[in-house]
Amino acid sequence: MLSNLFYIIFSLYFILLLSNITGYKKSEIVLCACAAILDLFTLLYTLNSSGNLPLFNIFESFLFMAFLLTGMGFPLIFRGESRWTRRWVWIEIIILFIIMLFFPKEASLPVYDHGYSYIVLFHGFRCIALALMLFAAAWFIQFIIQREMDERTGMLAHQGRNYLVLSAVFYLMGEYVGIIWCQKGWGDFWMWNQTFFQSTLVVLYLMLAFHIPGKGRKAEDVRCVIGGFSGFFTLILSVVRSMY
Amino acid sequence: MSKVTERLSSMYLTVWVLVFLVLWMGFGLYLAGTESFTKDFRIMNNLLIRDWLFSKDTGSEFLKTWFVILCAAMAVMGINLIFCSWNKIFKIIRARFSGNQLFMLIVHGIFGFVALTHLGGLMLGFEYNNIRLGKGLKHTVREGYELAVNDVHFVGEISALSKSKRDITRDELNYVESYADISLFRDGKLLRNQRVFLLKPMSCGDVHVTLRSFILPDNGRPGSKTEAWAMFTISRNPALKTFLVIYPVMIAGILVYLFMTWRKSKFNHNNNHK
Repeated sequence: MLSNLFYIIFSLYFILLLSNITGYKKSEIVLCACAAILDLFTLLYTLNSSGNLPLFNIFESFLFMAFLLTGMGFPLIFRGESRWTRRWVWIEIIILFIIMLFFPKEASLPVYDHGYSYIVLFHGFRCIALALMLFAAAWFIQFIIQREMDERTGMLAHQGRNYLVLSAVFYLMGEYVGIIWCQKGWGDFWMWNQTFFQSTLVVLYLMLAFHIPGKGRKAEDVRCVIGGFSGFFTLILSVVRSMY
Repeated sequence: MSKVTERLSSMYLTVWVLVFLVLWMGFGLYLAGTESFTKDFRIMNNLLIRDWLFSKDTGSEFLKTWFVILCAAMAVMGINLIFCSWNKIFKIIRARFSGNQLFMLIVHGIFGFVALTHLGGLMLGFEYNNIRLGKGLKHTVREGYELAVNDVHFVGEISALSKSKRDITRDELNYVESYADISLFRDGKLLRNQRVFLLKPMSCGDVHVTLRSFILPDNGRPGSKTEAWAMFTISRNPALKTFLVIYPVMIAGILVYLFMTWRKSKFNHNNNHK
């Protein structure tokens, strides 16, 4: 059942991208709505079958992120100038689905403490942060591609920066509830292991993205490349983390 | 401003230190994944870092070197933060600074305190992990605290305790109803009796007794008559409360700054330009 739903949603997103490329705006609206509804249905189905919120394995969390990205991309359809930015959002969702292809399409194991509020919030904030990082990347990519430096182009980089800062806020909120979880569960808020190193790497990377100095187009390009890669950097770390 | 202070306050220094920290943390991530260092990281986790670092008997020298270099890089970033902030305070005095930038300066100051309290958590107090106790057993730590277990009540399938924590399901462990009754003494004097649950530790001032997990008894095998033991951590972190208060303040500060600068302004859209 979940596997079938996965392939149907994947196909919908693929056709959604094609309709964006070909410029059929009405079909883009319909397909976007259908994909989001079916994605939501799948999330509810996994919630029902495991009893956990769909946040705990790659399949569930990436479906949730795809849903969030669709929600963020949908309003852009009604803004005429954002067709290319939208296109990057749809491509990012397809990348998420391609990654999901390599993982079991099943609900996560009903682990005994997965209903604990801090654990749920930790995973939820992380998913929201990653979705926002990817959404920011769409703006950054569009800025890098759009070579003419006018006020509208400058706004693309600024919007990217806004969503990246927002993602950092959510990521730090996730870290904060994670700290409380760790303190209550292990008696210390810090552990020297791969999970904590990965979290710190993301925070350091975000700090790096916000501190690139310099003026002018070249510096802005560097900021956008580093900022735009943050989502993919976190994505790679999430996939690696799920493997051990 | 002299050349040295100019360099120490430079944003380029910030970037290079951050690049180094990303690479160094990435190296740590690699080390933590290798078989030869997994055990050493476990030892590192079982003690307060101060005790681990300055003990000649425990810990890998290589890992200690890695940690000291990590701290040195953080110290450089701290110095950079101080000089950069000082530089910006001068700009405020000369009225060349916008309100948004002043706000961000405050957030950076809070970040500095967050980093300091984090370091405090690694260096102050004490920590003893993996204390395995069953009903009627006691454990004393160097600081004079004694933990006594009066009862261990496990609701679930005892055979599941041989699994990894990540694989134990709700049917195999009821973490809301399973508990341990414990007493904490100091120098023979009772400080507190309390029922502790998983994720609900006992706090006695700055001292925390955490029920980490239920385990099989030492040399015990899962059977219908086997009584579960419990694994505890006794820790004291005097910086914890401050850390938990200022961390969300820092997050709120970043969020407010974001709202203040959401619309692009000629004056405030990026304060990183030099």
